[in-house]
Amino acid sequence: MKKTGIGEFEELVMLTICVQQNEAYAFSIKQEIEERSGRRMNISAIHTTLYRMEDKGLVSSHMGEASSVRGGKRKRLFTVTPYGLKNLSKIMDLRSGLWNDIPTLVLKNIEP
Amino acid sequence: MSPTPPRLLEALLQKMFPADQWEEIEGDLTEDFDYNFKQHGAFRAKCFYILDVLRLIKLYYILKKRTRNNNSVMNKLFSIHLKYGLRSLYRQKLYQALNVTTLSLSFSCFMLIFLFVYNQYHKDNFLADKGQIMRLGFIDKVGERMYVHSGMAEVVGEAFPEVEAYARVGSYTVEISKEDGKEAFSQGMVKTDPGFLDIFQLELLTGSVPVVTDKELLISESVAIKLFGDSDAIGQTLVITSQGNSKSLIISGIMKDLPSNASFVADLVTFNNPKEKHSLSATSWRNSISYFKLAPGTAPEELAAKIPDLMSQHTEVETLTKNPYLFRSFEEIKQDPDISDRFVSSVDGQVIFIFSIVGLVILFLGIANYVNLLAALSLRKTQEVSIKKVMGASTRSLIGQQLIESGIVCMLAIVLSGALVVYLTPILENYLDAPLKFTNTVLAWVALFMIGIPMLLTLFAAVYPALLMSNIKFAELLKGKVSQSPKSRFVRNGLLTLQFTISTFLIIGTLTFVKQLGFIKTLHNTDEIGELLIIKGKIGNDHTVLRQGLNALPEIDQISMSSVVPGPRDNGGSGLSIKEFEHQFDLWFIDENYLDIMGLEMAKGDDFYKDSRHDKLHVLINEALADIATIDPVIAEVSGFGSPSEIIGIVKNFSIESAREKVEPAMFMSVDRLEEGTFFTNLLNKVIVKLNTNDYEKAIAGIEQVWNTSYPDQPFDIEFMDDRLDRVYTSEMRMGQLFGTFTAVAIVISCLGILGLLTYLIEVRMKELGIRKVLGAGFFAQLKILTSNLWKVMLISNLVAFPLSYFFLKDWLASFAHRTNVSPDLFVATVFIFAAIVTLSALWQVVKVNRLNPAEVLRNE
Repeated sequence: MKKTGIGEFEELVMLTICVQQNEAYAFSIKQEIEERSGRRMNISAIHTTLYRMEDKGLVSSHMGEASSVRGGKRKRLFTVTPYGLKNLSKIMDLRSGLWNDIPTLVLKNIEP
Repeated sequence: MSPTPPRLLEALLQKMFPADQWEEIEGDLTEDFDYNFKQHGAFRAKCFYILDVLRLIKLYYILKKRTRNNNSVMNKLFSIHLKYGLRSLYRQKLYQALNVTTLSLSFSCFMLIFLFVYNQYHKDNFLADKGQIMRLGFIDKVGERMYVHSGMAEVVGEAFPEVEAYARVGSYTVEISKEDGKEAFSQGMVKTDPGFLDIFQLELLTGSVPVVTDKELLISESVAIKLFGDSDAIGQTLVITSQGNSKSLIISGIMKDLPSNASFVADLVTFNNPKEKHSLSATSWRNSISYFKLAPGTAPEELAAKIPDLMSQHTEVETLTKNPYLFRSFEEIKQDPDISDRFVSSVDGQVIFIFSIVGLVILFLGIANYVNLLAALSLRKTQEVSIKKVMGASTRSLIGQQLIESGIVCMLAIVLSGALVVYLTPILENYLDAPLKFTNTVLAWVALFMIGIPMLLTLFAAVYPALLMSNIKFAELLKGKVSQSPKSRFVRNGLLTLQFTISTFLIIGTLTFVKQLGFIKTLHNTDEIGELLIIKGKIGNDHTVLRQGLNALPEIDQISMSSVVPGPRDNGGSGLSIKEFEHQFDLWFIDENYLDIMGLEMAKGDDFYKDSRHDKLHVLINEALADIATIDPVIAEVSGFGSPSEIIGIVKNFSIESAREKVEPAMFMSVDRLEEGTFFTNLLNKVIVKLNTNDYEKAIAGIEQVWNTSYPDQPFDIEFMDDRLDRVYTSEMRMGQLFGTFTAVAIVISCLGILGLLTYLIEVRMKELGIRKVLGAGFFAQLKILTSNLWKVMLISNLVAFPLSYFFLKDWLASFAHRTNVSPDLFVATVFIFAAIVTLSALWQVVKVNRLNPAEVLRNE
């Protein structure tokens, strides 16, 4: 499991790609995560993670159309592969399973 | 206008990534920059940009790995490399055999020297606090003294609270046997004080420390087993024979054996009688090696400085109160034979240092050779490499191939040298008379270290030729231009020069060593006096029967009886003192023939008279004693030893032990004096015989007969003077031989290097040589062409090596009391030896070329 293990950040990036559907590229992913988490992200960290996940087969990419917005440079658009989705759902199963088994007593302490 | 990201970094990005990735990353970064600019301003946006580019270096490697993995089949060639490596081993049998030989030679030499040095370094590591063990000595006119008055240990030990324990240590070689036993063993014995056990951390296994000191002793476990087997040794009686005197002692305790890496021996321990006080007077002077254990943190110099004051409270003898004292630590004594005593055996620290250097040098030579040949060989593969490169093999893969090849060679060499070391270790152990063994865990580490270091070095070294090969441009490679590239030639010649320099240095070193050894031995004038035979035994005070018997033999030219013959010190008589000299000296007994037979000369005065003027109260002294006398020594009356004596002459200094040491002051008395029998008994134990024939067997048979009739109860024990002297120089000779062996190895390695390189050079220039031959070049012309470079290299290396070795050897020779000089003939000899070696190995190759039919070389193409 260690080799295909997915880190928290990778999970976050993959989920963002899913949310943005077909329109996900490094900068948009960065924006999305920053907005949602309120943390500043490094564009380079996102790049590194994306390429690493591509090597692992979790995401796939293709070059998008050129646009004038960014100096005529094309974007590389990312999508999550079925293998990536399977891994994501596995993580979710694991998490929701755990959440479900938490005694209600403990949950009371969380502020709604 | 909005600012743009830093131009330089943009350019860098473009360099870093392939076009596709660059476009996308650059786009994202620009977008991010614009966004950051709006949010935080230009400065912070730029900072973020710079940081991002820096962080992208990581991505650079990820992407690089990806392209490599996908790019070419030429990069997945491990198994092919392996196959290639093995094949090249097979194809280039000569070169690879040379490689393996030089590497394994140098590895095994390195390993052996490493073992030896490591062992020396770890000597006595079982002593927990060796830093606190000190020996007290003093400095007088003659120089440093390794001993003090026998009464001093106790006085110093009791007076200062810093002294935790003290012991006088006398070491003797004695014969031991069981009370009823016929077998006798020769064993080292220590006569000491109770503090000894504490200082040297000897552990009692059973029994107790002797109470009645003159009747009891301690023995070690191994001696107990040797003598008594499994039965209980405590309470048994042991007969100890020393210089003809026997005495019985009861074993009161058994000590644990010392570890094999101890530099001292304590198998038998007897104790001085505590009731026997040694008053601090000049007449009762007896040398005693005195060891102390100082409390931690004590400064030995400060303590030593307080001793003269302490002495003046106890005595008025000037030798004791005026001379400065000094403590020598156990470590110092172990590493410097000049200040060692008979108890702690020492190995010259300088020798160990030289050995470690030689070990490293040999390792270096082997590796340099290997790199040299490898670089030459790899250029042979130019075409193969360039095709591989064109097919898409990366630099890394090409280096990988080279490394796999050299890894194979290296493994072979290591396996071979491992076998060699395992085979040679017991031989070396035997030779050095010192164990080189360790516990298994230590051995494992040592082995790992010894294998790891050469392995790593070799692999590291192999990177150079690999780089040389893989970084060359294809076009040139395919044209085959590189083999003459000036850079590679420079490196090769540089390495060769270094090798030659080292070899020259080693040859000069060895020659000087041998010369010095020879020089030292001539100091005993063995050449002039010829072959002398020495009979050893308890002659006693009545020796007329023996004297007459020997003089009657026709083979004997002259005889002399004495208590001393140059060689190992095997008789008592040292450390006496009388008031005229206020200094201890050796006392020897000789007869009137002694100086003649030994080829010694008088400096002043007369030898013992052979005619009626002879008086048994006449004595001679040597120059060393005359120098320190407080009176005019010649024709002076001196007191002491029964009747007052008259000094009639001064003998020129001559060495009794190694000529490396200074000559001890000595007094020589006539053997007739022994008839008094009161002071000295059993001192006369040698007869020097000068033969007038070369038929030793017959002469010895005759002498044996005379001996057996004179002393039927004593064994007949003889030795030749030469052998006796050799025993003094065994350690020096051993070191010389070892050094010579290692030098030979170094030279062999260099020669193999020359051979390999020459073979390669010839191969490269085969066509040229063929054409020259066709045009009529003779053998010598060819020799000149091929070796001219070698001579240049040799000249340069000589220029470097000569001044270096001159200064180094001068420094080294300065450590001898008597020394030869660094003479030019040695340098000339070195040049000749080296030139001869080079010429021989060059000739071998050139002859091979010369025999070749030029048509064969020129036919193809």
